[in-house]
Amino acid sequence: MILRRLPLVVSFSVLAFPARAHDALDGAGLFVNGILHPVVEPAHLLAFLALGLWIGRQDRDALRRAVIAFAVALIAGLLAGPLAALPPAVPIALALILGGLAAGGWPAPARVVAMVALASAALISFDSAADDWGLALGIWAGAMLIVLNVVNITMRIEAAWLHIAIRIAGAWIAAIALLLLALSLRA
Amino acid sequence: MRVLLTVAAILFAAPAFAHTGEDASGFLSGFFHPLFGWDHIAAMIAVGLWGAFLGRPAIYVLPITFPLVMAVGGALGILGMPLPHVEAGIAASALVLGICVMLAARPPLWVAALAVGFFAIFHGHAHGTELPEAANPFGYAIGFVMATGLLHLSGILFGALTRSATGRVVVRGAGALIALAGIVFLAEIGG
Repeated sequence: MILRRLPLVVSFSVLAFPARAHDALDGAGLFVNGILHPVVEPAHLLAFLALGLWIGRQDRDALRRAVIAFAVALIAGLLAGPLAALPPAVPIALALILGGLAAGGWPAPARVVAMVALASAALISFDSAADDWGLALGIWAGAMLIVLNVVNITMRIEAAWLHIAIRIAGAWIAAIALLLLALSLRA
Repeated sequence: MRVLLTVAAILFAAPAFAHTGEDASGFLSGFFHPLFGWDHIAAMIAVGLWGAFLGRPAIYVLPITFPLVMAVGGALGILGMPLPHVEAGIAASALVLGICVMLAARPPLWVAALAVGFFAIFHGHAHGTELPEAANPFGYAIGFVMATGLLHLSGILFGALTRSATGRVVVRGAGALIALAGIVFLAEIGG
């Protein structure tokens, strides 16, 4: 029961932080800046939301493997530092693919789900270019909060119409990502 | 209840955006863009109404596929790729989809999806072409997609009237009105 409520409690304590946002970013410190990083990076936010929507609808074994793969790969990638510079279109394309998966609502083998989560974490960590461990930990915490909260909501849904709502949300994310992709290519 | 609280926590954390230098008008301009054109409104609501007549799985396949295909059209518009007769295509979408609702047409799902997808390209292209350079692109895209989705939802909710005999007449009448509006839109383009 405590574990079930953990995402809710943590989200209140961390997501409530922006109410004191007058000193956000400038004086907030690297860890807090890291937590806010996925929120100010639209492509990352879309990717996290879509990933949570998709893996939250998978069976429990696939879900467990995906969350572990995502968490480990993300922190490893972030602590390794900026190893490669990615074109801006890459994380947007990732959000587009993950949104498409959520819109399709297809069940996938546990290994495939874990690989998708791992690849997503790797791309996001490269794109985050964290050059400080405090920033890296903050980015990891922010990402995990978003993904775990979305998973927590999605996995509990039983009503058929809410399953449809999840797929529509995935389609919206994919559509937004596609528009952003076109804008980034145009730029 | 916990789900609602969690969603509320995420949504009400949004004021943090105001301090990041993002252009707040991006979302609003994107949200209101589809709502400023009667041709867009008529066609979007017709999609929802038709979905209600077609039943499952069309009632959720159409609102899922429409934003995706519309975004393809939007991307073409953003990238400056020309599409002929965009305004005529949008006006025709109101006419054709209105007629489908009026007749309570029930074609195979792939035919309905193809028809809706075809018209979605025109709507998306118009939005993409007119996308203001100064707007916050992320906010604009969210607002634009959300407004379109909510118009579909309005149509689907209105379409729920089809469960009763009287309601079916009302919804088919709404389809006739939308088709009529489509004729007016086409006449305005021709004039």
